[in-house]
Amino acid sequence: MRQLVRTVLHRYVRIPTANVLNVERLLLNDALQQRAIAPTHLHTCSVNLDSKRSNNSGYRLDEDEEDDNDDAAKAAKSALSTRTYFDSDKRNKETFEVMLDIYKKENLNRKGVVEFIYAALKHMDDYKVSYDLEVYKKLIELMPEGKYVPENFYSEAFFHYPKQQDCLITLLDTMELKGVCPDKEMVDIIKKRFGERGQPLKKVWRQLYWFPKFKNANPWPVPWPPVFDRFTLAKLAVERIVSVDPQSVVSVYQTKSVPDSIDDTFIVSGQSPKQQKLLAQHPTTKSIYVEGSFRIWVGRASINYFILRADPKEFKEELVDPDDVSNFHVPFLYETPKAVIEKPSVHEQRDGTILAVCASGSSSRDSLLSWIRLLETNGNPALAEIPVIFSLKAPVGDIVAANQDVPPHSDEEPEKVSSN
Amino acid sequence: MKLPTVNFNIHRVYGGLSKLRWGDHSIWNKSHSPSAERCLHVSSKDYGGTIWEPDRRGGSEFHREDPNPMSNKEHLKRGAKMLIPETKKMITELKDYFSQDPPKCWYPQDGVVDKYFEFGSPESVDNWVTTCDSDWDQGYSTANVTISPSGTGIFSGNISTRIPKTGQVHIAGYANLRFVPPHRSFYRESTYMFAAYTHLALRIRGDGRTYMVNLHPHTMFDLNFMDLHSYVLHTRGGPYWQETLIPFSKFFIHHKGRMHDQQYPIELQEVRNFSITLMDQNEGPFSLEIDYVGCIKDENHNEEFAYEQYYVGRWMASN
Repeated sequence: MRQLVRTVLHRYVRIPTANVLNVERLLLNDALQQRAIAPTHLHTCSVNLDSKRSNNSGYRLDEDEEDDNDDAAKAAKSALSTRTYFDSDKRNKETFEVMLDIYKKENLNRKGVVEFIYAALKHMDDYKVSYDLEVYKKLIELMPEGKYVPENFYSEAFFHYPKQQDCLITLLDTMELKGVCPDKEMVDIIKKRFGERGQPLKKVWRQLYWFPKFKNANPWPVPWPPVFDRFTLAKLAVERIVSVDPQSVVSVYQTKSVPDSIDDTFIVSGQSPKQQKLLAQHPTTKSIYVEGSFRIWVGRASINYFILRADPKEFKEELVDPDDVSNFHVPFLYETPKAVIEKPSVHEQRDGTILAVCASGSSSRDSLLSWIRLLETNGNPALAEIPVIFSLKAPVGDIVAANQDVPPHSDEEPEKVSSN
Repeated sequence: MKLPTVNFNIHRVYGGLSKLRWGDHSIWNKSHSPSAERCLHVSSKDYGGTIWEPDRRGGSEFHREDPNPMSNKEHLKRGAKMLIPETKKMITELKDYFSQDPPKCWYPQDGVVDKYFEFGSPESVDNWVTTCDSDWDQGYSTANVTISPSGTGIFSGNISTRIPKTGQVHIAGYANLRFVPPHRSFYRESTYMFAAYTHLALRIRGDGRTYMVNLHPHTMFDLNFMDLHSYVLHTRGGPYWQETLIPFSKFFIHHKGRMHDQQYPIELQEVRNFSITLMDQNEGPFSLEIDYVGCIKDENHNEEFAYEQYYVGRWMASN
């Protein structure tokens, strides 16, 4: 009788498997024991990814409600789809690995491992593990050792276990897209599963050959794993921009230190002694501009930056036709020097002289005003005299248009916020 | 170098393939197998599993409807109109040939950039073509090319990695900027000769993203139609211009985006075209300002090819 009750209970009343993932890790063993009672009723890994997402509680315990909604009923009837594995509220690496453990313990013969890996790959971004090599290794380790290794020439030649090999190639492709570089251990793991001549092994060899060639090719290295923290990004971005002048100094300010500032945020400012000199020499009758926001990407994330710009200097250059020999003369014999012209610095470009660069936490107009005040007190006393025009493109801030086609030199009317 | 503006019509120049109907090829894509494409290098359009590539553009001709289908009579009229200017062009070419005047690409000055692909006048934007995945309904990225007031070109747009639910592609998100090279008379393909140079020189102002610079080789057989020589182009980002030199020896060869196992350097005698690709899988807007792309000769650069040339085991490579 007790057995009958238990069978009925587990056949008609779904066990809330998804909730297992929501509780603490301590409860994992209990949950596994609970699940182990009726393993035959649980069809593992029927891929049901396109079906309508059921409510987050996983399975309904109330039988009557199931008839109301066909989709929900269908989802619940596939007693354990891969979707439910990755339906947790806590989306982090720990939960992800717990799910892999659950799958491992429940499926000793690794039934549906291909579908499980595909589903896991789909959810890696959600769980913030897509840049983690260890997780990719654990996913590959779900596949059984030795089973897919071809035993003779013919199976070797005819793509032994094609679905499994495809799956692993897709996994390696996903790694490639994310920029994760495999290591020697990964090669060994794959070799144990698909043998010496498997396609996944060839792919991972190719990756090991090519990735290290380009891994350090960037002259402006980006951190790995990618950072998304606003302050770190701002610092990296400004450091990257001012790397054009090795003398540049990157300083971090807080707007709190400026009297009358509204915002309370950070400002990362970059300026070199050359730029300070240029600013000091700038005539007080001519105005300079705060321009932005422009976008810079650092690795996987982007951030807005602003520049302090003066109008371009006049470059006196005569266009000389090198093929014209009518005016041929030897330079060192008949020429006398007329004036000494200083070579323009890297900051004096044809489209403007860059005087400083900054990225602020809020990208607001107030924070930029604070930036100018802070520049004034930190080595640029000339800013008290020079009129500064804020020509900012609106909107400024976190809002990003879906298809922003505005080039940085568009003819928008600058909005004059303040000038002194 | 000032290049003439080309009135370019995709459908006509490559033999008017759009008139042919090869049936609806989308039905073939249902049996899409990633392994077949990756490992065996078969055609992405899956013409019965063969390696046959019917056109240089990877089958994209077949998927695009001609907006203004032309009758045979109109074809004839249009062709007759082309006859006179093209003959004139041919006469000029013949004159050039018999004058035996050596072109500047034969004897470049050391350390001087010869500009080949550049912007300048507002009309120069016609020399460039942008492509992105939304053009072929394979994604949602956008790309366009404009001229800034200072005469430089701005390649901008938005990269979206959202995958359309047609089931044809499993990765999306690219934008491409391609030069339209001037053709020789009677729409014959012209090629550039960069053999005397050692570096590709670019003056750009990027946004910190990593782009890819492509040199299109002159190919004859369909097996090589999708070959491309590329190298990465890292940009600093920020308001400063950046001058980059990329040695030709560093360009690697790939076929439909898959690396060749047996690498060989690009044949600089015949370079067909130049393009820049962005496909870094970062979702968001991009902007790359280009002043010029040219070539430079550095006497001290002796590297022939940057990648290993050792023998790969039997049945290992290109499988």
